[in-house]
Amino acid sequence: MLAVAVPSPSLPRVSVARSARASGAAGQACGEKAVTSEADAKLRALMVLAQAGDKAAYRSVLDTARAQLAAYFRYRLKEDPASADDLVQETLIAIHTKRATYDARHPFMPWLYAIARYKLIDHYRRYRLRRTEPEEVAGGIADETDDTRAAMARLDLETLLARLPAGQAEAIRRTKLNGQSVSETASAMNISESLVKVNVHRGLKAAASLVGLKQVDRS
Amino acid sequence: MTRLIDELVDGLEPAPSRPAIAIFGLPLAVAALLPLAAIVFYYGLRPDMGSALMAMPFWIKLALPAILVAAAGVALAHLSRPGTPAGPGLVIALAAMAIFALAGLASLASLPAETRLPVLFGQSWQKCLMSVGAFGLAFLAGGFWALRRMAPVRPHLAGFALGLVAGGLAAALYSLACNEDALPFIASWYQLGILAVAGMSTLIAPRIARW
Repeated sequence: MLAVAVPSPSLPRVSVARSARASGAAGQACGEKAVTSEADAKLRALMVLAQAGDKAAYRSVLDTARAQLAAYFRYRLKEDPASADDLVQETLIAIHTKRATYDARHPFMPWLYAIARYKLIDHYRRYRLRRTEPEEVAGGIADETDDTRAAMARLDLETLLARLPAGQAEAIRRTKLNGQSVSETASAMNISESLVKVNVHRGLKAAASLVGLKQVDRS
Repeated sequence: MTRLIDELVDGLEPAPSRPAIAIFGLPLAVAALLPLAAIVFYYGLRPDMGSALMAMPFWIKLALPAILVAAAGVALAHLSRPGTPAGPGLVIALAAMAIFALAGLASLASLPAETRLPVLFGQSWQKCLMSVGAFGLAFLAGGFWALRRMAPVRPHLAGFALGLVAGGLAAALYSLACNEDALPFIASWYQLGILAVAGMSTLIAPRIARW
């Protein structure tokens, strides 16, 4: 199950092994039913290093996570590989923004898969919404004065944004609707500027595909 | 995909795991300022505070929120992180509430019939409900501020746990101002106020703590 290839060029091996054992013992002391595979212990230690800012350790965590997530989502979305790939990326971003919520007293894999499962459920929810949407907005297009048209456009936009992942929607709302700069948005959302850009771009792409546009103007 | 990983690795800054008490403690403490101000400037401490401190009922009344905050707080700590089982905290909290409800009923049953309603309603049942509810909202605001920084994967349950903590804290603070110590009163109005806060928190958590 756990195909973990951990390339860790600059890692102090001894201390990794020691902290892995220490956190393993702590996990059992808490009464966890431990997934005490070697692989999990390694990831656990790497993740602790990543939380401390070690980029090499972080890269191995993300590489492993990407492989795990790809298998997870492709198996569950066999008929929709594009969504599966999107979910892998979305989950990687969630891992990044929520990396401080990993507590090394607990095994790593359940943390990863709980996030993956949350994103999968979120996807199903949005997908269901998309399929029922036409009936929901069918009523009320009767009188289109300029005021109602503007209000409805705003409403449509909000419905559309509501179907995007929360982070993407917020990034778009701030940068495109409220006129905040990328750096303002980054500090308000507590993420890096490049991640804001990634979120806006991916959100616009997803929004475009939701309303049936093939291409979206990149500006 | 590898570009995304490059971006994420590039953007890595230290983000150490912090214990839940550190994450929720400060916002909840800040939220406590509002009810505390209300007690100091509006309600006033209960007039018989000095003698109440020496007697059992006051401490029994504080025991309920203490158990709730501790038990639901542990559950909240687990539920606000992905992949950690909720544990028995919520069951313990609900069991404590059930025990108080039963004790309240037993106490009512032991009273002469004509005094039951006056004891149950006391002088201030509406004030109790409103105050626990309002104080609870202040704590919910602080609690959700913290919860949004976490990653609850079962938002309803996390919201319920947070609601019990917020309601418990609200009840604890309100008991500084309230001089009703009858067990049936605590078992009903305090607990209903707490449950109202928890119910509301359960309903709004999926929207507020979405990530």
